Amino acid sequence: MSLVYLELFITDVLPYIAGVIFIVGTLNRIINWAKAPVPLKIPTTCAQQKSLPFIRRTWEDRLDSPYTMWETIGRMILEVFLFRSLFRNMRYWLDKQKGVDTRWLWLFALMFHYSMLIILLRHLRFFTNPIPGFLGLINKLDGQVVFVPPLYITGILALVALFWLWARRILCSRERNISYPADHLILALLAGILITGNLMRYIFKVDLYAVKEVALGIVSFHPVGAAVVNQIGWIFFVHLSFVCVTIAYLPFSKIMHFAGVFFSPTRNMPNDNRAHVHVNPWNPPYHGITWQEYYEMYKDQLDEIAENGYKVKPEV
Amino acid sequence: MKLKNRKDKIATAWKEALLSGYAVKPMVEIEEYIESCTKRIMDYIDSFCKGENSNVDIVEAVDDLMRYLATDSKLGPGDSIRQILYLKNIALKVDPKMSIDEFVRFSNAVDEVACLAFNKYMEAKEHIYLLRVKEKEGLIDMLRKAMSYYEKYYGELPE
Amino acid sequence: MVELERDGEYLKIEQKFTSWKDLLKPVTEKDFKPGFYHYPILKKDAEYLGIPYRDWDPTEPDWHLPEGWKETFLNKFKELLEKNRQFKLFMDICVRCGACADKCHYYLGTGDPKNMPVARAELIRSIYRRYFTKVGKIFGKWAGARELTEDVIKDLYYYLYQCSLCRRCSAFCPYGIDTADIVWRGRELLQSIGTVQRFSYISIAACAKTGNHLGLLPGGIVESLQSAAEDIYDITGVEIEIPVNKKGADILFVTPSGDYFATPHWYTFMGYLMLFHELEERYGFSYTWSTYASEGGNFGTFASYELAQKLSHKIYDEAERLGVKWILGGECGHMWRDKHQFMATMNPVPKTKTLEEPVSPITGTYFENAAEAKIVHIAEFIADLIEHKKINLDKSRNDHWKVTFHDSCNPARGMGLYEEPRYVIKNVCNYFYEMPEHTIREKTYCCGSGGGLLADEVMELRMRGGMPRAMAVKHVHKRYGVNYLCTICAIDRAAFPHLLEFWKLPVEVGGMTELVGNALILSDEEQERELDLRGNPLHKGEE
Repeated sequence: MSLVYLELFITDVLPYIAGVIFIVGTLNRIINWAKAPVPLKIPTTCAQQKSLPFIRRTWEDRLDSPYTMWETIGRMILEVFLFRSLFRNMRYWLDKQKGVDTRWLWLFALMFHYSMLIILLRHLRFFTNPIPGFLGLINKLDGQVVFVPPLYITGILALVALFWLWARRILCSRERNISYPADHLILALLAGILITGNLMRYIFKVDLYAVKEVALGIVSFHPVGAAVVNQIGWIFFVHLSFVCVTIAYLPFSKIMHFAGVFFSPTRNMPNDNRAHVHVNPWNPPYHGITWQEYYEMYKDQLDEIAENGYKVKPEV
Repeated sequence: MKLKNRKDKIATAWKEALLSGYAVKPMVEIEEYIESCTKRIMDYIDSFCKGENSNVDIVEAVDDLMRYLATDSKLGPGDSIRQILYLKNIALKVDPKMSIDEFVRFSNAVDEVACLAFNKYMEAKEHIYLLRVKEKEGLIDMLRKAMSYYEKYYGELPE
Repeated sequence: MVELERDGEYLKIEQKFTSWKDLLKPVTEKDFKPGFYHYPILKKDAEYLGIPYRDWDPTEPDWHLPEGWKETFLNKFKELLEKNRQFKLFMDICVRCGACADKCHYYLGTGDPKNMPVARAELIRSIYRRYFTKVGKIFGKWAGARELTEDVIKDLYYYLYQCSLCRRCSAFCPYGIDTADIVWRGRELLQSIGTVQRFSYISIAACAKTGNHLGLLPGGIVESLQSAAEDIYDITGVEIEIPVNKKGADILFVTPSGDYFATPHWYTFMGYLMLFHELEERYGFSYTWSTYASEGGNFGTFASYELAQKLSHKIYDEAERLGVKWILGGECGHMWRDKHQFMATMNPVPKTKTLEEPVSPITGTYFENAAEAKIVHIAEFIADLIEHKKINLDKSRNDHWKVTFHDSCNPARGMGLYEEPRYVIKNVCNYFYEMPEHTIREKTYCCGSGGGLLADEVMELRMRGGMPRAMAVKHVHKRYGVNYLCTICAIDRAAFPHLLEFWKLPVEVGGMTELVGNALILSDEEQERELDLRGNPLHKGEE
């Protein structure tokens, strides 16, 4: 009997707590960042600046060293959707004159993030009624019909990528040195979500109609009762608790990079510093010597320059 | 074990030992530098053991290596020489069946290199101090010029 | 590294740094090695700049931190967080992916894991977590937070002054975290309690007083210009006239003060003078040097916002006083980070009638990218002259040089100046070779001595930090016989000769304008030139 209360807590209370923590926490973080002024325009220029007309600028130059707003937006899109900077990560040999690819981090990071995105989108079908058309398309593309039930590629890919990312934190000495317990914790939470999710789909199947009822209940603020909850297998509650804990933890974790990257001044500012001067809202007044003071200090020497007609000639 | 094979194995093991302070494999620049040093020194030691004349410029090779070790943030002079004496341990590890005769010869060669290395270590350190002095002298030169300009306008500097 | 085991029985190989706990463990004065720590600030500089001073020695256990240092430090920290979005952001969003770890040339050179950019930033982040986040307050060490103790200050002092603010890591960071900015703030924090290095503060104080880092008085600058003019006469037989502090000139020329004295800066300095003289003769180019704005560089950018502002103020001030139309800047690295990204923000451009949008008086080219800040880089200016064929060049005079180009960190990653200097160099020399691809352009390695690290007491660190670059030079030296390393940075020109000498590379170092000066045919030059600017004979007609 008491188990039902726990299950009801997980479906009817926990998501709201997590949701509130997430929204308040994230907004708090973002407002906190946005509140602080940007004193300087400090883009990292990774390619040729815009200068003279005969200095050629390719589209790569435009995107890595943007001059206009649209180029900057392009740079941000590349950064956010394709992880441009990680892609730069190559080693080269001196003598052999060839590049050695060390872009595994880029590949697996991209794999992980996109799989997670598609997984999230797939989950929308639980929260919407009727289901929008594009979700069906994603489902179709993602699901491999060879297997029954169709095997979702992203579910597997995300898990593979996650374990690769985790393995390098444990096995590579460099990453082990710089991995805090927090880094492992978030990976563990995500692994928990992915594993229970996959188990629920392929092994311990649950009643999807009941799950959908729960999900709709959550988003429409009409939490379901014990009757519905009783129809669902235990693994769903484990999955849901993992999700809720993770969501509640996000604002305090490094996962805030998803919002932070948009604020990063080395990426989101154009390299047009000399053409459009940035204004620092708290620029302090200047304290230091002025020309007048300088003149007083070195009067005789400066006067001598004036006597010579502001000219220097070689003694030959 | 074939001698040539052993030589290369020792050189590689030695290179790895020298670079083991790095938390992650260093960039190719550093690795190739160390590799060229260890290879040349092992070539020399190998010919020394065989009693042949080596065509390796051992002074150059040891100098290169000691320039690297002399600028290390963790090694003192003794530790730097230890990196070379450690070759004996590596040799035994690589080829435990080495005859005593062979080992003595190998050991003599290593000692020879170690003595040379100490000279080179000190020279590298001296070179660094020389560079520091050079920079200081540049500064003093500049101050002297500044002083002479000062004296030109404001008379003798007070004692 | 091979270490002796305690009992002395056998030798073993071990890796020192194995877990995140080591990351948080501060180094103390016992781990300070000569050649890797800086001398502390001098009393007179501290007093002049209003930095708290006390007598202390980095190698002693007690650093005599001023009373209430903890509060001062944390208050300053809070203030910086409130004032700087980028600082706050960079404290929060690092995921420690490790992409930057093997990008720092100090890490590559020294192998010290704390020199990885992420570890360097964690020095400050750990304090941030402890005092400014709830998670860090509650979980302490397990959340990567650490208490602010005297040892932590030592840790900061040791490692924040092992960074040359080159931003190579920033180019590889997926969130664009700028370690240079973090280090800059960190040094600002250290400055609030007076725990700063000696080298850059000597120059900052000198610059605040006299207008340039070397502390040259106006008379000194004039004599320096004069002796350069004499050197030019010796080589070309042309008597040139140099305008100084001239009111009503069109253009104010500003260059780092190293050019007035040091070698091999000197040859670049001569190059500037020859070029301007030629333009004056042929096109009536009107420009002036200034004794007040005699420093383009800005060591304040290694220290704090306020000091950076203090040092760059004089440029517009002087431009306004002299009534020039715009400003031309010489070859320098951090100067151009300052002039491109900081100066006009820190010291708003004066609204006078004389300052105009920069247009080249000779070619009529409008420098659109410098419209508001009104300061143009000499490479942009010369490239434009060459493109319009306004100067006569004899490339063969540089035939004794096989040139390679070192992208200085700041013009590269802080400005995007890649093609202009290459365009100029290719037009004044016949032999130009690029270094390996991963060591140039946005991936360029630092000389190892920038960011206030040009002090002689850290020579070992500089040699190791510059080692990746030296090896890249060695590569082109062996492959193509390169014997001239061209850079557009004054600190490079001061640091590279020693670096290359230590790594046994017979390669000369010089600036872009020196090559231009060599190749430039002066219209009033009567005899055939026999020497280059360094006094080397020109190998003409030699096969």
